[in-house]
Amino acid sequence: MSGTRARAGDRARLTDREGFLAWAFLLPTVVYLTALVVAPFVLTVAFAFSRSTGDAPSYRFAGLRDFRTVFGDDVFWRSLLDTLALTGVAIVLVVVLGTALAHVLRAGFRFRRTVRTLVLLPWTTPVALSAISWRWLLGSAGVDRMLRAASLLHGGGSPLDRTGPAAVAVVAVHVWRLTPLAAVIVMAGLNSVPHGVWDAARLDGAGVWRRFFGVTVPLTLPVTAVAGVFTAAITFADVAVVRVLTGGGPHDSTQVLPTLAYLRGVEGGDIGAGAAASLFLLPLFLAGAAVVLRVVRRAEADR
Amino acid sequence: MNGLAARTAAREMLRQRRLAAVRQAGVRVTVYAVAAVAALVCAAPFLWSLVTAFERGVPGARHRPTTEHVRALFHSTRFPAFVVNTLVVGGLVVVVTLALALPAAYALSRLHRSWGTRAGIAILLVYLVPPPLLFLSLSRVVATLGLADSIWSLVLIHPTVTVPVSVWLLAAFLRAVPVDLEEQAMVDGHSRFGAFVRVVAPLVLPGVAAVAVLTFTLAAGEFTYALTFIWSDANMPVSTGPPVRLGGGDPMLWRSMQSGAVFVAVPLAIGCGLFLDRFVTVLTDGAHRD
Repeated sequence: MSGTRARAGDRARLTDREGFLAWAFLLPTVVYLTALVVAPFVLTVAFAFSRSTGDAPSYRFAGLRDFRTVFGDDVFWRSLLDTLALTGVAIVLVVVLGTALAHVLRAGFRFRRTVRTLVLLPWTTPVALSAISWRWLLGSAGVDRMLRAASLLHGGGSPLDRTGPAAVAVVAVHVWRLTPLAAVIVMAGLNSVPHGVWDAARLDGAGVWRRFFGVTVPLTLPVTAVAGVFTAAITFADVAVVRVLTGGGPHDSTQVLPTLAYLRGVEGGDIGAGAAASLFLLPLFLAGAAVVLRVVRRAEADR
Repeated sequence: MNGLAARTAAREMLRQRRLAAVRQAGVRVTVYAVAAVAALVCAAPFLWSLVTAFERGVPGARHRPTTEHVRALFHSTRFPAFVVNTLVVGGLVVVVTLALALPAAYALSRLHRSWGTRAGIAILLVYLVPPPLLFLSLSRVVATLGLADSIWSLVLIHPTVTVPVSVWLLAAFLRAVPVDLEEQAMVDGHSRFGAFVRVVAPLVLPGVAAVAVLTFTLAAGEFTYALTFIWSDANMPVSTGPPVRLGGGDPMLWRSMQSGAVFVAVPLAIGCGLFLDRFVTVLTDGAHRD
């Protein structure tokens, strides 16, 4: 009897210590992320209402001046639409291709290890280097030369110097890069579905497609949504693909909000206008966060 | 009569089996075809880079392959310096990230607090914050700290990207180690720290290695901050050096640069490939539990 009480006492003390430990362990991370993510975000909002420039970075309040500058900028509206379109198309293509790839990578076949390593290349390679390689492949020494040899391309300028093809190339490189990540996430979702569910559906006479759309898709929907959110978050935040592949051109036709913020805020030296432009990424971030919270909450409700 | 029925049944069975075999062959062919196409598409730009890196200058012309472009990469460009910078930054970012993320992950997965789940989600959401929202302010922060144009700026800032992912993954790896083992060790007289070092650490070590490789890969690939904070050739990492410095210049260097992209791409893919199954497993457990 007394032994139990002593153990209960120990446990109480242990929990007390746990409370302290939990704080002590979490505090450095919380302080670090607050100082270098939360505070800089607040500073960005402040910069969006300032007259700060690269040469005179000290803070001077300027009201809505920066937003007037941004709204009067044709390239801004173009970048905003491009960012939305790029993100939307990338989500759809990456989720569809990533799901297909996940099913294949789960199957057993020879050279599985080699194929898996090759499939990881797009995601593990520094994105700017991938973009360099794509530029070389699509440019004058590669696809351009082949298209000309086949008389499919005439006149001056490689595909990356033409408005439509350049935009397609930007989307393609993003999809190419993020499909492996989506495949890995969806693979995990597929693994967590108990095998019995598919067998039961098969015994009930459901065909391949019926099993896919009736069983697999609903059960892996949460994890697919997470894959979609990660795809979106990485796509709409990316500077490297546009910057290296097309340089935003031709004639700023492939600029997106992040490259515009860099162009105005760093190269143009107008920190205020750059910050104001970048703030239009905030709704996209909030949408992604809302999806993640919904998935988590539903998973908790299921438990 | 009976024999006929038996024969019909046997024939039907054979037919069904053949059908199943055909279907299975169809699935196998599809799997191989998709796998081959996926591998080819994923490797395409690098294969092209590799082929052209050994080509002599004139495209299309038939010449013996040459190693001059690869040699030029190491002798006439800053590529070796870019690689060293990335190795130093990546290594230090791994150290900083693990130092912050391991205790945090332990707190989230082991020390059951009422706010544990919410704290975990908040940290994960930080990963989704787009760097373009921060880079203008962070470049002021970096300048104020006197770290502008220094690789230390990247050591300071890159963990904002890698810590959230690492906390989340390490917490999942820790949850996969049964709590009973640790409690048993504590009952046996080990302190919490002793139990962690003696029982939990060996079991979670492969997960920590996986997170370290992922952290290094993310740090090596980061572009926006590196582009904003660093402008001297000597201090650039491999993610910004080649596109910023080699891109505009001598067209001959383009081929060298292509071989450089392959040199970086292959080790990172192999390193992450080693841990792929571990990531999938831990994400699977996460999908089960959370």
